[in-house]
Amino acid sequence: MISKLLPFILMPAILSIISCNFSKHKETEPNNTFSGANIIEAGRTYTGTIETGKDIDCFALTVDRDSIIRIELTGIKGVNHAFSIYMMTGDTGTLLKLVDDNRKSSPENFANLFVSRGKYIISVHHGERDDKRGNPDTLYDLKITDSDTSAEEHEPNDKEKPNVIQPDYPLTGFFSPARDRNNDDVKNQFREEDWYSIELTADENNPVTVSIDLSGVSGVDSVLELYDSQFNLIAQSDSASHGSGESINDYGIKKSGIYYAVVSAKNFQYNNNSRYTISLFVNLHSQGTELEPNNSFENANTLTGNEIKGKANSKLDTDYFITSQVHAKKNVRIELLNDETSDTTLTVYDAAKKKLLEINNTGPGGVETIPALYIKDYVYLVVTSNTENKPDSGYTLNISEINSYNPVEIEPNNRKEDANAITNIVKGYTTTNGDIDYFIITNDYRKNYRIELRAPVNGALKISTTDQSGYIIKSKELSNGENITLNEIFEKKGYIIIETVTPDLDNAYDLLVEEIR
Amino acid sequence: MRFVAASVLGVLILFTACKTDSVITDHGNIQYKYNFTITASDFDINHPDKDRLSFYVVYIDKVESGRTTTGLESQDKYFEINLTENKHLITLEKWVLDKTRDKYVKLNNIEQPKPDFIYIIIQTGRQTRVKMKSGSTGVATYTSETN
Repeated sequence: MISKLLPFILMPAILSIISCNFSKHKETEPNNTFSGANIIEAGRTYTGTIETGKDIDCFALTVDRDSIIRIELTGIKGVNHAFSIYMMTGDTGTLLKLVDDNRKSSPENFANLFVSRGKYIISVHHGERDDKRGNPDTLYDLKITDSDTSAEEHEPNDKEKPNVIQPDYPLTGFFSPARDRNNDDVKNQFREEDWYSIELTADENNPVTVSIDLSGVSGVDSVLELYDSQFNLIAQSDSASHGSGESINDYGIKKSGIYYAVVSAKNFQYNNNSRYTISLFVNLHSQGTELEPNNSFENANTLTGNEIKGKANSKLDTDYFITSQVHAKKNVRIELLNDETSDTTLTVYDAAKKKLLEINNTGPGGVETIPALYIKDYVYLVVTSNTENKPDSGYTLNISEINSYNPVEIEPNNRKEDANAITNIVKGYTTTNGDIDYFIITNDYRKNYRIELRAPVNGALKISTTDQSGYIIKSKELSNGENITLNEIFEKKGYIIIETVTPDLDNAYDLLVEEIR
Repeated sequence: MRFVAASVLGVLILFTACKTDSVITDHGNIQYKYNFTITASDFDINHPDKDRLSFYVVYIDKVESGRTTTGLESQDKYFEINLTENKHLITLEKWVLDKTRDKYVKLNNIEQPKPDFIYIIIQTGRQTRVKMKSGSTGVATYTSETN
């Protein structure tokens, strides 16, 4: 009975074995050298073994057209293997990539090697880590597939062979598990990088802004960098974590030339299955928007108009602006209007770069206001983003002249050393939550004065008078448009101190000082 | 003779103008700028560590009317004002500098000079000057003169 059934049992097994042998091609030893390489073709699978730790299996692939090939090498139990890819010129091979994930038993893959007409060698060998040993009993599979080249990076697109990227034409690529032996950068030695060249036309009067978006890939903490034509790093985005994208936004370029966008992964992380997408956007710079980089006093943007829009282009981005002659010798009101998700601090520095004011009264979506600032020649306005991980937070910085018949206090006057001299009437503002305004009265000997103060409509103040040394003699509080009158003696000099209890950034207080004769 | 008289008067005017209560002439009559002045000081302070900056708040007829100048406790501190012809109650309240608080604070009642008041009479064309001297025992003495 069994003998009658035996052919039916054995036949499928025999067919299966024959089928496997037809579709897979066993390597032919010796193939340890380029000249002895086994000839292979795309679309097929080849098998082989790493017999010993020193065994090398070379496979020669001849290509007759531009294409992108995927190289997949299955794992060998207990062996940390790797493969190298060479481009052949005659008998000489140029190393394109070393693919090695540094782990035992795991497969090695290279997702997208761009190849053009010519001969390539794929060399399977032991990896660099671990003791070199073979496994003659376990076959590996080497599979090569090809695809077309549209909209895909052309590996190897390293520093010496960058791919060209055009505005509004995104390209895709892979974070490959490769090491670039030619990358001798001290900080990032052997780091696998994808370089994209960008040709830009711009000058001082006609700057352009460059934005680059890099999509996120699962399991990869990516870094996006922008280099100038001299290979100086000029911008970097490394704010997002694993699986998230990076972006460089509205970076200003004032000089024509070739620039480079560089994509890399931290710690040799890779993902062979999911592509990243890199997109480039180039726009003419608009006068009403900030021009990055403006992260220091030296490259502060000049404010020629009354309004400028800016963005927190990266985590804790700082934008520097400098006022122009338009605002010189004027009292101005400054407002920093935040977008819904934006939270910023506004800091004012004088021409000597000494900090005058720091305003951070509101949170996301709020308005930071300096109700009155006298600009002698020019000041620096510095916008610092308090918002982390919200790179697109935007703001509008607005400067408007205060047209007042009466003189306006000159900030900063928060210390008696900076007190404003007062002889008659002055308008003042509660600039910050804890704002203090000092006014000084001087005379030849000793005089009596009548002091009138009207509180801002929606604010509360404390007024104090002092002796010559600034020690407080008396204090009174008033609020919401309330008036108060004090009589005081000032001997040679004395101070009036106005302290903010509740700020009113929209309405002024009025202070009147008159000598009683 | 007239020249000598005018010169003497001029010298008198200059001399009196140097004081706190300056005078002016008006058709030959002397008019005081202020018809009441008060000067206050401590008489027995003899060490700088005990000599604080101070002033007195002056109440006239129980209404706060101003303050004296500031000065060390040992120094004279002045207050001057024009009052109506009448009898007036003058009350003083002593304030001293608290350097730890950068401000003047009122002395506790128990430390205020006693008595803290004097009655005066203001008359037409005359000036009343009061001197208050207080000591470490808290006892104050008042002297008044009217010109």
